[in-house]
Amino acid sequence: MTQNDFRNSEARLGLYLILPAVVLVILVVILPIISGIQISFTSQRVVGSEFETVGLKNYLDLFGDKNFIASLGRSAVWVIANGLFQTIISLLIALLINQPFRGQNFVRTWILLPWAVPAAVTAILWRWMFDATSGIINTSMMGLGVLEKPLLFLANPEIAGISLTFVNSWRYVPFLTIIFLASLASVPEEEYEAAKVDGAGMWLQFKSITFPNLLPTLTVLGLVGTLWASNVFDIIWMMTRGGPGVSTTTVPVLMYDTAFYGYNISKASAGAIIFLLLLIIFAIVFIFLNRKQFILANETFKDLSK
Amino acid sequence: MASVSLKNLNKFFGNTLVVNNVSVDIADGEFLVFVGPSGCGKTTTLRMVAGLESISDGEIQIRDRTVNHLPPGARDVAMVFQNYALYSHMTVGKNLGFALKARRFDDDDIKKRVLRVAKMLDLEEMLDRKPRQLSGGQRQRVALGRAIVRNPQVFLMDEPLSNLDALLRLQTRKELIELTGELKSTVIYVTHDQVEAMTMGHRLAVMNEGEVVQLDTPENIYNQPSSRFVAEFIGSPPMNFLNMEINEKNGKKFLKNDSLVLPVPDSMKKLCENAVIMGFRPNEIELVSQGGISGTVSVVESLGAEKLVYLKLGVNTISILVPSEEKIKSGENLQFNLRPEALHLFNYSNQRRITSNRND
Repeated sequence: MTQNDFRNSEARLGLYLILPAVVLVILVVILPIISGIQISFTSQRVVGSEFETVGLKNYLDLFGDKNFIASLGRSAVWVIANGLFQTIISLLIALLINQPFRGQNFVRTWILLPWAVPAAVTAILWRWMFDATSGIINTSMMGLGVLEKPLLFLANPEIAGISLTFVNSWRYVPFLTIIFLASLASVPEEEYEAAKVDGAGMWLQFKSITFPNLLPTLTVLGLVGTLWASNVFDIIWMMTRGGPGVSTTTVPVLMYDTAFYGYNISKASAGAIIFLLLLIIFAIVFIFLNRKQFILANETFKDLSK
Repeated sequence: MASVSLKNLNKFFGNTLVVNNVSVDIADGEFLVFVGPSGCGKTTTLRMVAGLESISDGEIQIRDRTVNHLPPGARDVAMVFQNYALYSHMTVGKNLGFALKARRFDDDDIKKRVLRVAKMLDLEEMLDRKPRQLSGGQRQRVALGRAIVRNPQVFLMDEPLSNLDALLRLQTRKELIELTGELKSTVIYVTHDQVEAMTMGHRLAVMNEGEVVQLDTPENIYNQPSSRFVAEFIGSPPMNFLNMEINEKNGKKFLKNDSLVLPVPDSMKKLCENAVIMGFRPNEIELVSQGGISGTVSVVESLGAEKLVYLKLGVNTISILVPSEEKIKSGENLQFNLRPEALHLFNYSNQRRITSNRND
């Protein structure tokens, strides 16, 4: 067999191996998106009902829909709040448990637990803990005299968003912490030793060694985390259904509600497509602006996998 | 610059004693080399001086000030690491200036000092590059420059040449000797390479299993190794060792084994052991045509200017260095003489050197 033949057969084997994944992606991602786009140009109300093609009507309606515009704003606030909160908290935890201490391995493993808990369980757990009359948070806070009357974590429109951000962060912080820990492990120990001998304090060490080493990871998480947070639906739906009022109605919640409770699947599809386009534009701009960090991150992952 | 004094230094890792009662006084401007096989505790000792390892017991003084509890940055020492430990996300210029920045020098001053050191080490062209864009030799110079720029009291160097290829290592060794001589720096240098140690050190501290087994000038260590270990470790190719019995005949003492008999050198007449380890260096023999010690050539290795010849003497094999002009084939018989001054005798049980003037 010549080298060329060998390369060809190797390439063919590679194709066979990725084929199942490609088919799966086409079936569960590409086809639904295409059919979503189709539906968004029609007047279909529920799945299976009769409809006619209406062109861009659904899109034009949405641009004039105050509810939709407001939900875009809420989604933006939700993403930024979750992103900042989760990043800062998980970075702090990672730095903390990266210091050697007894039981470090135990903590590193079991910290992942909240991430492994199904969203439904998380939602029930926290609804119960947030409960005004029997929830552990309100009863203990009142028992300690911190609160005079129960705090309505999910029923007060001013607090509900914060409560949801907290619960959602509770789910994702462990995962982010593990990513940061892996990234911290790749920072060469000698650089810290050299910095100590050079007389650098904790802050200068963080600023000039830790942070630059974490930057590629932070950048990748910035992108992935934004997309994840944008698409969070389960926790919000199961805890507040977008309420009270519309105070926690982000775009995915509004579209679900429009499609299955407002019986307007074509309008919901159009909204989802707009949201998808916005996220794609965000991703392209983000990657372009941070292309250097993405290249670095790629190298880091290559190094790690060696 | 400053003197450094290590007093009864001990270091435990768990229950293992890795540095055992090390005491060394290093004079102002001295180049002291810790040399020994890997795992002998030399790097740990250096790291204790730097403040990167805690001290289990004992005391370290720099310029007569105890520094045991000072953090590394407050000891005014600069360290060159084996793998350089350059800050990978900073340019060469930032690397060089980092210690000054940490000490809050103003920017103009930092720039001036960095430029001066860059000029000294021929790094001016590279100030804007990142470490990974540099060759091994250039990285090594940046690591050195990072230490020099601070003008510290003491330089600590942990095998700084071991990652360079042979030719570059030779050249850098020379430059390092010149540089530290010019700076009149106190240097504590760690290496496992005995040639490096011999050529660079004003004094060597030979370490084995956590202990300093001999502390002296390179010449004294080469000529009068304090134990069999030192004799074997220092000098290349290594010293030959033969177990010998001491026999007495007509009032004269002889060293004897299955294949040779040698008179005990006059200077060792007081010898009272029954058996000793006899050592001699491969280069301290003299080939003769007849009447010498006779052995059979087993292997001949050409080293260029010399040949290293392995000889079978009865059950033992020894090595000797002969000029490359000598035509020697394996299987052939060779005869050589050993001058009495070339013999080193070591106690059979504790392996220590038997000195000529001892009275015990």
